[in-house]
This record gives sequence, structure tokens and C-alpha cells, in this order.
Amino acid sequence: MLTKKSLIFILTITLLFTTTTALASSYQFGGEVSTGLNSVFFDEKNINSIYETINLNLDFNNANFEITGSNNNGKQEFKINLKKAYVRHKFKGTRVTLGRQPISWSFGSLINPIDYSLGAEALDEETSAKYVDAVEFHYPINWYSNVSFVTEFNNSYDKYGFRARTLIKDYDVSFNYVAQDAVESDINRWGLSLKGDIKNAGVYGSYTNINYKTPMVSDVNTQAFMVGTDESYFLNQGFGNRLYMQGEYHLVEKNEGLAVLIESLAGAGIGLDYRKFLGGDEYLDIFLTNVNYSINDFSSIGFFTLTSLEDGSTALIPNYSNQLSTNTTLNINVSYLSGSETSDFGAGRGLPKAALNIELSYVF
Amino acid sequence: MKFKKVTALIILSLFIFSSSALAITAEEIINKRDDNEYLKQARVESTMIINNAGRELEKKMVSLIEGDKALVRFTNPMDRGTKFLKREDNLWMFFPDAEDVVKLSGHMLERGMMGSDFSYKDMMESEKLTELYNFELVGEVEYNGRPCYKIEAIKEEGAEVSYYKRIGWIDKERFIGLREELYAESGKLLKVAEVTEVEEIEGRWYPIRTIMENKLRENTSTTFIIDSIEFNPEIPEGTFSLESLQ
Repeated sequence: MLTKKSLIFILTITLLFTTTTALASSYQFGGEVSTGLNSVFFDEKNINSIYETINLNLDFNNANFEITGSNNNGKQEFKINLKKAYVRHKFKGTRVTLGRQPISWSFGSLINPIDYSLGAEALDEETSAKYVDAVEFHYPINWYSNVSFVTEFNNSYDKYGFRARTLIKDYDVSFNYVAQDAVESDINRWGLSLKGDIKNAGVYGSYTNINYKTPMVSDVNTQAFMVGTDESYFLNQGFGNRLYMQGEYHLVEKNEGLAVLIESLAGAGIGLDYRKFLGGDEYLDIFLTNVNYSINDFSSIGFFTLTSLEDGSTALIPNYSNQLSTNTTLNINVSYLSGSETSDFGAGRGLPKAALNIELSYVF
Repeated sequence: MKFKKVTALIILSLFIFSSSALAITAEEIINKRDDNEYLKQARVESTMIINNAGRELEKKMVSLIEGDKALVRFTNPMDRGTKFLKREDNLWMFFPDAEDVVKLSGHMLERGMMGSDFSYKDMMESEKLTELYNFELVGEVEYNGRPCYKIEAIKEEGAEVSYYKRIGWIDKERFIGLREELYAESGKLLKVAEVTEVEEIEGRWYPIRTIMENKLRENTSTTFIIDSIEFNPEIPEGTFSLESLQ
């Protein structure tokens, strides 16, 4: 009896074999090396670690392989992570992608509650959550409309997703559905998102419905609403510094389904226990801001905040970036949790009060 | 005596006729420039060098252009795989790590593309200027040793353009813009584009090295170099689509 994993492996090899001729014709090879310092500050202690990473990417027209090796001197460990290993084919207009691949359904928000994998992306950062072993079928209906279907191969759960995307009066509109069935719980999420412009401001919003079912225990629905806007300006005439601002408001019903959406905060670098948010008001309402100020063509400072409007606790995440040369970049990121231990975004209960990351990277 | 009068009249008539026939209007100059510079369809490989107070960044890209539609793919290591699709006033971006397509807000069209002094509109739009501006020939001058027509353009009422007024220096012989000043409605000078190298390609003159200075910023400029250009290539149907971004 073939397992799903062995089936995907055989199919991958078969497709690789059939595409060898095409693969040999054109490819791009590149990567990135980086070194950095991570410091995490708790009340009682600080943890510091120095790390080095190397990322290698081999991109063919119809296949992509990407691998990351990381060495953490603090933990004395070396890890290798296969980020991408997929082949892609077109069959009668349908694009089929098979293997380890990123599945990301972003539409420009800071936190995306209707993404395929929650916690996969925020602030253009990426985590390993979005790279999944899956097969994706993608069918374009016209230049601006498409539908895609994803089914994932995972031993812990069965998961599939569907996305339909189109443009209505210059608004990017999508309908997303994700079903994840596991032994301990079944989660079904569906939602709508839209993004467009009102005069000079970018505007967007989403509605999410989560059904969280634990056999013999609970069957609850959670609703989540989000609206956001972004704008950019030239400031300080004579220097022309650019200022980009984004603000986003989330209103989430407080019950077990909240746990699913709290996961999406992980993409912003904040891991939280959802039970901390239960009690108090019927809805969790949070406000996020992202401000980025370009000092010149090479360097910028940014400020990301995440605030609970219920108790005022705030996560502050400033960052500084400087492109030292065409291929070398310095990034400094800080995160600081303000608020009491019992507040929504306060430090304590295992959460550090601050963290610092300094990283120097070189691309080739 | 009568014969002399008739001869003088004929000569005068011929002079007036030939003068009016030779006089070129601003619209004709711009049309001739558009014949050279307007890209109905093109495939362009180019380099952008961003200079700020002595520091330089280099970006390389491949662009497919068809009127107000464009598909741009960056090829330099820092931005490798990043793509932009522009159709009318909609701008889409492909993030290569996440392999994700996101629609950018409209205000980004006016911002510098990837940190340069060229806006996304400057880089991704080939406009037939006669459809957007009213032109006036304000003089004939010499610029960098070349005889030029100096043309002033004010935007047509209702036209959606990035710059209210443009003043252009157009080479009298080659009908190519050698310098252009771009102004806001307030009269403030926003940008100056200076063409430092032109080349005759496929029978038409085209600027292959342009330096853009954003006058709202100090000590910065962006040099745009055409590494290769193919006019009117065959662009497959469906190229300017979200599908092509991925």
C-alpha cells in the first residue's frame, strides 16, 4: 500500500524525468549568506545566540529547489531545511505544481486571517509555515481571475484549500476556503477579502468565519472582521524622504476559534496563548500600525505596533534597514512587549519582555 | 515696370508659401518624437543605477511593454525574481520567496520604483504625449551642441498624468528628447531627465542612457541604461496577466 508521501515522491520523480530536457535549457542559481545575533530578554535572564545561515536556490522555468542551512552557536546545532522542491506543469491551461512549495494567499494586510497557513506571513516576513508538501491546481479564467485548489500531504492532518480571485471595479476580491481535519479537532475556515483604492488611499478588508469542532466536546463558530488602509507621502521637501503608513483594525469573536487566529500573530514574531484573551469583552479588538520612513535610497526605519484596544497593552517592533552595497544589507529588529503580565500583549508567563536581532546578509 | 511688380508679387507669394510649408508645429514635432520614442510594443533589457551622495546601487530588469501595459522582471541578485505587472492604473507585485501576487495600492504608482528616481509610471508606461498634453513651440535653442526645438506642454483638462507641465528640448534633426523638465501644477520643478546617449536602432533614434534627477531630493540621481531593445516583438497573448507574474 502506497502512502501519500511515497506517492508524491514517485510522481515527483516521474515529472522530473519527463522535464529533464526543458530543465537543462535555462536556469538561475542564487542564494544568500547571513550572520546575526539574537538576544531574548526575560525578567530573570537573557539568552544570546549567534547564528549563520546559507540559502541556495536553483530555479528552472518549471521547477524550483531551495535549501537553507543554519548554524546556531547558542544551541550548538546545525539545521538543514528544504524550503522548495517542486515541479510545475501546464495541462490544457491548468497549472499543476507538485512537491514542497509555498502556498500564500496574501492580499496586502499586516495579518491575514484567511491565508492558507496562518502565521505564515506578516510584514513581508516569512516563516517556514507556508512551505508545504502539496499539489496545487491553478486555473486562470482571464487575465485577472483565477481559481486554485490545494491539497496537502501531511501525516498529522488532512488539509485542503480553495481560492477564487478576481477584479471587480479595480478591487482585488478573493474567496478563500480551508479545511483541516485532525484527530483532535476539525477546523473549517472561509472568508472574503477585498483591496482597492479610495482616492489616494489604499483600502482593504476581510471577513472570516471559523468553525472549530472538537469531537464530543465543542462545535463553535468564530467570526472575525478586519479593515485597513495605507498611504504614502513625500516629506521634507529638499530631501524627499518617503513616509509609508498602514493601519489595520481587527475585531474577533472570543471563543475557541480565536486560537486559530491568534496563530496568525506568530508571523509578526509574537507567540501567544489564546486562553489569555478569553474573558472580558465579547470581542477581541486589536489595532496594528506599520510606519516606514526612508532616510535615503539605502536606509529606512520602520515601526510596527500591535495594540489591544481592550487593555491598552502594546507590542512595539521597530526596525532599521541599510543596504550597505548592491548585495549587502544590515537589518536590526527589536520587539518589546509593554503592559502588565495579565494584559493581552504584556510580557511574562513565558513571554520575553524584549528581543533583539541584528543581521548582516549578502545575496549572490 | 508692370512686369517687375508681377515678378515681385510671385516671389513674395512663393516665399510666404514656402515659409508656411516649412514651418513645423509643436504637435508635428511631438508626433515625430513619438514616432521614435513611443513604444507600441517592446522588449527591453535595462540597468538602473541609483546614486545617492556617491553611493551606488545597481538593478537589472527585463521589461515587456505594450502601450499602458507592462510586465517587469528584476534579475539582479538582491531583487531576483521580483516582478511587476501594470495594466492601466492597477499595479501588481510578485514576491518570489512566497510566490505570492499582491495588488499594490494606487498611490505606489507615483512612488520611486524600487527606490529609484523613476516612478512606476515613468518606468512602466509608454505614453503618446499628444493625447495627454497641449503643446506650444516656445523657441529654437542649442542644447549640448545640438540644435533643438524647445516645447512646452500643459496637460489637457481631464487628462490623468503624473506631471502638470513638461518642458522638452527636442533634437531638430533626430527628433528625440534630449532634456525634459517635469513640473507640478504649483510650478515647482519635480524632475529633470537628461539624455546623455542616443542610438539609431532599427531605423529609429532612441535614448539609451538617461539620467533622472528628482529635484525634491538632494544629491540623488538615477541613471537608466538600455542594454538591448527590440521594437514590436511578438508578445504572446496573455502575457500581461496575473498568471504571467507567477
